Amino acid sequence: MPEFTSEESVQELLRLVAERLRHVRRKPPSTGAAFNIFDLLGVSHAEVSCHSRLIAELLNPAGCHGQGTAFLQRFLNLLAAEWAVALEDFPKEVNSCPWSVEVEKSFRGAGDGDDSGRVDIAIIAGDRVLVVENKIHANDQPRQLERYKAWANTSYQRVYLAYLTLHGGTPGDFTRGEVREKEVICLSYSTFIHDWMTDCIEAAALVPHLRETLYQYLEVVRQLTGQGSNVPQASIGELMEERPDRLLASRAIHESMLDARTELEMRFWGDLGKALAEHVEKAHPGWELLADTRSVTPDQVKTNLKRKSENKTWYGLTVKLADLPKGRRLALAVENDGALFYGFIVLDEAGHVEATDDEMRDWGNPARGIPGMKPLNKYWLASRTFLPYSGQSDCFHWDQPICFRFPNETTIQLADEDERRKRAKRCAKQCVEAAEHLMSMAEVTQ
Amino acid sequence: MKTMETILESSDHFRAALAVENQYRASVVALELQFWKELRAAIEDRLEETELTDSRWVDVRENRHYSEEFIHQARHLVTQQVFYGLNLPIKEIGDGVQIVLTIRVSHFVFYGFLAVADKHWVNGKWLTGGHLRTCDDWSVEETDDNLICFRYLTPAAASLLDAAERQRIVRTCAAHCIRKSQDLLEGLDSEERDKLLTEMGMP
Repeated sequence: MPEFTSEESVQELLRLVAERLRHVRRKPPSTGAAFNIFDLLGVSHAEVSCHSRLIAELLNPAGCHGQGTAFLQRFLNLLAAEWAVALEDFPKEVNSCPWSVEVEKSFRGAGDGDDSGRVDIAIIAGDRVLVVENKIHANDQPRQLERYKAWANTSYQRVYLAYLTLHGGTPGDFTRGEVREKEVICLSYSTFIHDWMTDCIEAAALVPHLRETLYQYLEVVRQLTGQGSNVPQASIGELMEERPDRLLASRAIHESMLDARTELEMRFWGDLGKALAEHVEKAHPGWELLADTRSVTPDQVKTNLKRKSENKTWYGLTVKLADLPKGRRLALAVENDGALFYGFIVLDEAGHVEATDDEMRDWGNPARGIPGMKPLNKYWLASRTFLPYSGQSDCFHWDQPICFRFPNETTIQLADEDERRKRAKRCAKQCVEAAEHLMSMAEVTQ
Repeated sequence: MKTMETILESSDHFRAALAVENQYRASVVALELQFWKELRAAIEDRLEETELTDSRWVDVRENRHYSEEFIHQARHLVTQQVFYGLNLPIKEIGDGVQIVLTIRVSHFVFYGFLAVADKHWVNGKWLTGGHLRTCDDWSVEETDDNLICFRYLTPAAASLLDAAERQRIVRTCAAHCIRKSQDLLEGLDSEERDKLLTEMGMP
């Protein structure tokens, strides 16, 4: 690719844009536009307790919003416009049948425990159901959609499956199981929920209490999907379009972003690896930072950043904590799955494997007793995202989970070397403390 | 590499680069849309001076009349092309076949002449054509400085940002296309027209 632009133009454009953004970020506007109750309460990334519940409540004709079917009808209108063929037999009008909406619906299959699960949102239209799997930063689980379908088939005449992600990615084989790709409707927060929320705000125009809450939620959606809240995008455009060399500099920036984001993520993993190695070296001679197939490489990072589907490339850092029977090993792992998280896994010679029942009993149960750790599946004995903390920032923002695919303010600040190292040390400390906790609990129980 | 390092120089730069990245596509789409609007108007102005006064823009399946939607679609596709631009019939040559001046994006903005029947490009052959340019002298060598490409924004395309420069360029391009249309029409006597129809399998 030929070079059309000078670095001076790139420097100048970034400086000018940064100045505009800094001005907006430093001082919350007196209009109160920066106030967001979802951010304030730290729930803007909470898939189930925030997003699923809010979406389900708005869809529910009997919901506390008091607007009856107004929001549901708008949701159906958007569905019909985008997925007319796939949803051919799904009712399009609220008056055509009785409707109800259920959230976090647990079920147990007829077979063994593996058939159980919990549906995020079920939109029930008479004898039909649209099952919505809501994914923001959570891990996919094996055969999730297949299990939902099997469960729904026992209660409903016709079952539709929707997979809701930040940018409308498609579920991989791991998540779909036997369900075919074309059976799944892929919805996105970036357009579908964004547009629906805009329609809902219009519908609630004369209900200020509700309208303003929906506005705040729309801001959360925009932030989550990298559509920049509080950022004067039009004024950025003005700067870029002021002169041809600025637009050419914008092109150079646009084309370098994938490399820049890859490099930023690599630098963070590098700092985190160093911080973990220091802990291991100083206090835990039996532990070992492993270089294995899960290790971070620029190619893996780039693939992950580029991917449009939810098919994953799993990579991260692994610290061996203890040897288990039959040549297996217990390990602390830090992984990137949308947001960065850590937890405990079992390795054999081939790599990351499912834990056995004995391993679940001996290590999984104590791991789940560590505050904040949650059970996930047999691949992860327990896991959690990193605890937020208040960094030394000159700007107002709430700490968010580190996310390289859709960088939020917390992730953006990792471009500053000091901040990145400080953050890496804190992350290392958090997961090492969790590992120490697990090892001490296991010693007691064994 | 240098640009990447500049982006990662600080969180201020990285944040600014993300904002630029978010805005870039919209800015280029807006610029391209403006180019098509003004090129269309410039060609319409020129038509008044020719025997093509009554000619009207048409939609051809293989080259849809430009719209913001098509431009957006094309930007989102890497391997598959969406062809769009302008199509102006310049001559009916019999059996419902028209010779159409077509301007479209094929990496660079390109003009040429097609035989069209029932909104379809008949034989998949360009009768003649070439790239549109931003320079007044069309005899100079083709470079990124005078060929318009929006997908990989050439300096020539970026120069369309300036309104006065854009007007000069679209007028030059319109004059060139109309001149080439007239050249083609003059050269297309009945014998050649029959030959063309035969080539198309339409004797």
